Amino acid sequence: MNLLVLLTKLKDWLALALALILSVILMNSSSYPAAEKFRFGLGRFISFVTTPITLIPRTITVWGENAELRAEIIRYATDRNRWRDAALENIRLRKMIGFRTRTDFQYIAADVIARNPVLNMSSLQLNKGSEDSVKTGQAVITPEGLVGVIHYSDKSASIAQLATDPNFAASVRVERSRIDGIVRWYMGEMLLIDGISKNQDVKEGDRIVTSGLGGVIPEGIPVGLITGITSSRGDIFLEVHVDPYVSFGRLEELFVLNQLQDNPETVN
Amino acid sequence: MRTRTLLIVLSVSILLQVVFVQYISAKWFRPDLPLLVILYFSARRGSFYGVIAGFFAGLIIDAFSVGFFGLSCMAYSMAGFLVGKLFYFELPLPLSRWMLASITGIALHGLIFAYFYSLHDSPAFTTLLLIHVFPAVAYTWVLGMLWAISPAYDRRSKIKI
Repeated sequence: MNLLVLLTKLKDWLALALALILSVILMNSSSYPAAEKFRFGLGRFISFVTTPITLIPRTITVWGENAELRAEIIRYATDRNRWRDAALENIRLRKMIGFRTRTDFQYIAADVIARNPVLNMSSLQLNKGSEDSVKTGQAVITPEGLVGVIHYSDKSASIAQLATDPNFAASVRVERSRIDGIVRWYMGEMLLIDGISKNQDVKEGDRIVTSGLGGVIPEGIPVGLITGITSSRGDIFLEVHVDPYVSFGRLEELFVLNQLQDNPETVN
Repeated sequence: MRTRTLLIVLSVSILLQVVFVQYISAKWFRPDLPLLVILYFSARRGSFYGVIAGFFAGLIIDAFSVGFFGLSCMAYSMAGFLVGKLFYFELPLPLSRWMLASITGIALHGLIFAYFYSLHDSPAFTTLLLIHVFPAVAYTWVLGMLWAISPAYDRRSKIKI
């Protein structure tokens, strides 16, 4: 009886202890498939409820974007004609020197149906899954540049890990000097490339693109601009700060890159 | 606040957090609506209920995240517990008490997040605290205070702390 009274008295402490133990267990089992499935199922259920509601603010945004996009289409059509000749010449030259054909990609358009709602904005849930050829490890982009990679894919939905996730890393290249490095999250919406030795040719304002090394993310996807360079680790290496092209806080429509079979190069 | 009312308010706050908060956020100035509900509920109903509400709200919030599944459960539960322990008040909360309760809970929640994220390579704890956590804490607290001075706030009590 006394024990019962004691337990009742300490019920808040016991509840806290239980909550903390469960939280630690959950944190340690994050990578297990069962935990992943549970998390994903819960996320899908909530996104099923929230999707109709998100249509309201998104419709308003779409109206505004429509006019801008029409103007951009005209601009791109003009550019396309200009670049067509250069592309044809490039294909001819590549064939002459025996380069292998480039891989083609299918762009799978996906809508954001849920996002990580607290402090960190490290993941998004997309409305396309394995039924639409979305698979784990595929790159996620916007017209501006790299967003992240597919972290988990279910039948009809998937989770994209953003470049602002602390666990994210991608092989990148300084476009001008072709120096390779690994980009990862630094703070806020800033990214960082470290491990580049001090004598390498890197300047503020240089454009960073993906290098394609590692085979996860295809090469040439814009990542961001170098905004600052500092020395680190006893002045042997540089810390290169990158401002990404993508604004991670307001992502709504994305593209997942699905690698197709190697195709002979053509210009349409 | 009754348990049924809490469930409804908490569900709505999570829904708003997931769907609409991005439209009133800028960079790291991002309010945490479910946290405000949990803190208010803890202060009115006590730490036991704060822990329970915090844990389950955190579980739902964590379902949307890739890393650290369980971190929101922990942070919400601890914030709910602390506020329930320090600021439990049977009558409707006076404004000053809510002011202290909310800043205590929000700050603890932010500290827990900053600590766990600083376990990664970078950024450092203080950087995380200043750049990521402080704006979110400030925004959430201001929102909590705006609600407290609005007509929707239950201020029947004349008792001051």
